[in-house]
Order: sequence, then C-alpha cells, then structure tokens
Amino acid sequence: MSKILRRVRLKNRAFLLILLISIIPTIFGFSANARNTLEYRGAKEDRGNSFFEDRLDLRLNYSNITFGLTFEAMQPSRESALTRPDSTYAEIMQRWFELKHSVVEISAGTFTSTMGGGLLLDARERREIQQDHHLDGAKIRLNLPIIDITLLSGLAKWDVINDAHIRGGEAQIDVPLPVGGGYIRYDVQAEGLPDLIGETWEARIVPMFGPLSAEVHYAQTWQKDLQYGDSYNGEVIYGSGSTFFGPITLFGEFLMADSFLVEGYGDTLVLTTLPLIIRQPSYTLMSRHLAELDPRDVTAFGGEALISPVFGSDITTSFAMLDNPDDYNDYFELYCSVFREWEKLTFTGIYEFQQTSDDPPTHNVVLEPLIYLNDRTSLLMDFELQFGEELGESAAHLYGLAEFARSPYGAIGLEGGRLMQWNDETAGLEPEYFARIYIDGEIAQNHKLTLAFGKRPGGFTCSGGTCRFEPAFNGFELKLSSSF
Amino acid sequence: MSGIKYYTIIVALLFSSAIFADDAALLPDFSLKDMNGETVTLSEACSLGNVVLTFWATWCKPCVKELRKLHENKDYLDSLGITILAICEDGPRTKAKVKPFVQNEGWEFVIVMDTGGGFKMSAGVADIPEFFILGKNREIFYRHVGYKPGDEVEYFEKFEEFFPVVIEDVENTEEGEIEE
Repeated sequence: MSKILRRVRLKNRAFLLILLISIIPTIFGFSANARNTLEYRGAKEDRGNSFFEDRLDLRLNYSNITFGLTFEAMQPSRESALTRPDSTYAEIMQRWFELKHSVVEISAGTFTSTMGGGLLLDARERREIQQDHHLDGAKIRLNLPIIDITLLSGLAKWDVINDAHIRGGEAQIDVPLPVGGGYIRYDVQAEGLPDLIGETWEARIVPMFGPLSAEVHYAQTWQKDLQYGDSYNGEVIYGSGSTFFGPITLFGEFLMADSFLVEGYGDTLVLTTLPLIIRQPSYTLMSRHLAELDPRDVTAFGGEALISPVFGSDITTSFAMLDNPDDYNDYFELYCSVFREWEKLTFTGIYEFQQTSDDPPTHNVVLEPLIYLNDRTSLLMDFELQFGEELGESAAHLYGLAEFARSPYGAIGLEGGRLMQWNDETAGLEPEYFARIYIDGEIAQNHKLTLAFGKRPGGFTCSGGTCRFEPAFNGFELKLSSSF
Repeated sequence: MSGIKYYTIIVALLFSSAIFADDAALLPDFSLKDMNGETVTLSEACSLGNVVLTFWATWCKPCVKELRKLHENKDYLDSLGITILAICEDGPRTKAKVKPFVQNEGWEFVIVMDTGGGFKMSAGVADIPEFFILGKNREIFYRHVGYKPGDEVEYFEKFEEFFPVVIEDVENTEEGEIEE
C-alpha cells in the first residue's frame, strides 16, 4: 500500500485549495461535511485488476451557500471506471459553489443536470456503476410560483476524446395542466476530428387527474458534421401513465425512437438517456442478459400490474418488449414477483422470462427469505437459478448468498455459485465455480469497513446494506468509508 | 514533497476541519419537486418539525426494506411529529416507475424527486441508502450508510436521543398528564 501511496502526486494548486477549504471552518464558523471512501483491491491474475482508489468529498456550508470539492487519488482506477478507466492520477475532479434559495439556485463549477426527462440531457454522477458524468460551467434555476426555469452552460467532463460545450435551458409551467419544454445546443471538438454541432428540443405534458397521472415527451434532434457537411435528424416520443384503484396499481409506458442519437464522436459522449422500459435488474443472475435500447431505431412498450391484497404483501407482474427494424437486439421479458411479510420472516419469490433476438430464452428463478432472529439480528438468503441455452447447449447457472447481520455492528456474508462458461479447449461449456466471503461493519460511528476475499461473478449485487454493479473479480477487497 | 506526505496532510486537515468547525455539519438546502409536482424545501421542512431524510431508489433493495420498516412504524413516527423525506434517486431510466411503486407500497412519506442527482452530490452521498436525522437548521444529528434489518431499532433509539422533548410530550400525553 505504501508503494502505491508514494506514487500519488498532487498538484500544488489542488493542495492549496484543499488546505484553504479545510482551515476556513476554524476561522469563519462554516460547517464542514466530509466523506472519504478508500478502496483497495488486489486481484488474482485470472480476472479483474488491482487498484487503489481514494475519493474525498468535502463540503463547506454557510447559511444557503455551499462550497464543495471532490478529490480523487487513483493508482490506478478500476478498469470498469467509465470516466478514466485504468489510469493513475491524483486530482481535484470536482469543485463547485452553490447558492440555494427557495426561489433561485445558482451553481458554478462542477454540476449535474437532467433535462427533459433525460431526452435533452442526462449529466449525472452514478457511483454505483462507477460513472461520473458532470458538467463544468454554470447553472441557474428559478423556482417561481407557477413556472420552473433552468438555464445552463458548461463543458461535458466525462470524455477524454470529445470536448463538448453544452448550452440550453428548460421550463415547466405547473398550473393548471403542467406543460414544459427545453432546448440544448452542443458544439463538439475532438482532436483530429472535424467539429460537430447539434441541437435538441423537447416538449412535454404532465397531466394528473385524481388517481391518473401521465407524462408524454416529444423530442427532436439535429446534428451536423461541419467538415464533411453530413447531417441527420432524429426524433423520439415517450409516454407513461399510471392509475390505481383499491389495492391495484396499473402502469404502462411506450417509446418510439428514430435516429435519436445525441452524442459526440464515438459512444463515449452520449448526452441523453432514454427510459429503460424493461426492468432494472436487482439480482445478480438476472443482470447477465440485458438489452439496451438502441436509440437509432426502436419501438418499445411495457406494462405492469401491482397488487397489494393484504398489508405486508405484494404481487407484481410485468412485461416489456423492444423491437428494432432489423431484428437486432429485440427483447422480450415477462416478470412476476410475490412478496409476503410475517412477524419473523419476509419472503420474495421471482420468476422472469427473458429472450433476446440473439439468444435462446432464459428463465430466472429467485427465492429470497429474510429471517429475523430477533429485533437486531437477521439472516438473509438469496437463491438464484438461471437456465436456458448458451451457444446451443443447455446451461443452468446458480448463485447463492447467505448474510448474517447484527445491527448496528455489521454483517458477514458468504456468496457462491456456478456459471457455465464456454471453453475453447474442450469446445463446450464448462462449469466455473466461484465463492466469496465478506465482512462489513461499523468500526466506529460513521466509519464503515468492508473486507472481502474470493471470486465474484460480476453483475448487480447487494451486500452489507448497499447495492452496486460490480465487474467479475477474484482477489482481496478492502473498502473504508468515513463521514465527518 | 512526496505524495504520501500530501495525502497524510489532507487526511489530517480533514480531521481538523471536522473537529474545529464551529457548528455541527449542515445538510445543504434544496427546493425540489415531490412525486406530485409540489415544491419541497428542506429548510422549511426542518423549521416546521422533526425531519428524517433518506436516499433511495426503486432498484435498491436495502432502501426499499428500510422504507418498508419505517412505513410499518408510521404511527410511532407520527406520534413523534417526524416528517420523512425520501429522496428518490431514480434517474431518467426508471423515474416513471416511482409513482406506481410508491402507490402500491402505500407509503405516505414525502417522495422528493432528485432525478438529476444534484442534491445527492451536494450532500456528498455516495452509496444509498443513506439515512439522516436533522435538526431545525439542517444540522446533521445522525447519519448512517446502508441498511441492515434491525437498523430501524437504532434509528428509533436515536430519535429518543435527539427529539427528547417530543418524546417526553408523547409519554406525558399517553399518561394523560398534560391533557387539558
């Protein structure tokens, strides 16, 4: 570890900024709020990379004013990091100022923003998938009694190839029928590549009548390559609605996209996010076969019925379909879950059917009992089975987890299972077994330590009370999270 | 100066700033829309009563478990005059599913939509759920990352620690001592 730390270098300017922001509270009576997350992984050679990461979030608050910075030391960063994968650096990655009032909010420096329900712009930080999409610039929001206005101008900072300047705004009138719209313009410059300019506008209506609520968005985009003169237009329409009567809630959504691709050169600077339509996976094996909406051409729709027959019970059924004109990346899913809670036991059972145009059908079964041994002690189990075909052969993948937790001290868990993987040498499927043990605990108030050892299959995982996407990994893991 | 020295100094400064700061840490203010389009301002909510705030998302199983437990104890929380602000971190991909999900669960919390994640970033929250007990001026009395079954017992003990006057009132009310 010391060898790693010795190689971390910090620019003088960054050091001075941290120094100033750290001593200000003692002088001016600001309040300080900080979070430090240190993570180290030592990988075995067969999968994953070794890395050391430290991320410090420091916030200073005085009345309605907040100063913030995020300092990162990576040696190197994890290879799955979407912003700067597998690179070594020690820098202040975010620094910002915010003035917040009930009527006006001003942000300068690093900020995030989602506009037009993601169809205009989606610049967000999502640490659960190691993604940091933020802008550097300024944003002002006016929150007036009947109208909400946001204006922004900034550089997209999540891509090392493209240098994109984004300007735009949106407004929504809230009475009597909420309607709104927005516009962004982006100029992209990339080294060795011609300039690119584009515009997107979006309009929406968000009606709510008693138990019925809905929203419909329409957006159009236009993009032009200045050197070659190529240009294209794209559009998307999205709608969703829900209603409820008694214990039953119904929900439906649809999306039609035609060449709606708001991005720079390559796929590293996608500025927008379409609604998912399919279910967001919250279990490990179910996250293995996922279809992404292809914004170039897709029609998608889904429906969901949620029923709560008695208190402490839920039944959810849903379906979703994605259809692409060339049968590329088509997807269909059917989902049913039951949840029941008793005094000392809760039980979740799930069946999901998934089929993509490239793969045969896949069936998923999840059984997740949670046993309360007493008020503070519990045993959580998660059994997952996925069966279908892999490259023409029948395959069953297994995953299991048992986590014993004692609040507030921590949890100890064991996960393991088997994946059927293609083996070139035998030209067939071979089982790959994995097992991992972890311990997660509060070593002091606001200081949480996680230690783990073993092989994980990769995918969406929930352990120690939080969830995140993790790539496949084998080795030792340490994470220390502290807040002050 | 070598990187290790810089690093040590930064950590030392961080500790010193936390120790010597005049006041308790504050959670930044926000004005965000709730699930029904109404504006919710944190400072106003805090000034009106006892506020508990937690970050959650529909895809986050521990978050849902935590909110289910709080919902089960709604009567107790109501008796303490506690307002629960559930800051929803569902982004554009899944935010449409929030309202039917909440409706089905029967939750009566104030569901605040932080679709762009701006408040999460301001608050320095990395992993969800993260739970806060706040004072009248947004002071952070207590914070807790993650949720394990049984954590709610710890929360309730903290309520008694940080909202003692209200607790006494409730106990007195139950005993009929301050009833008119």
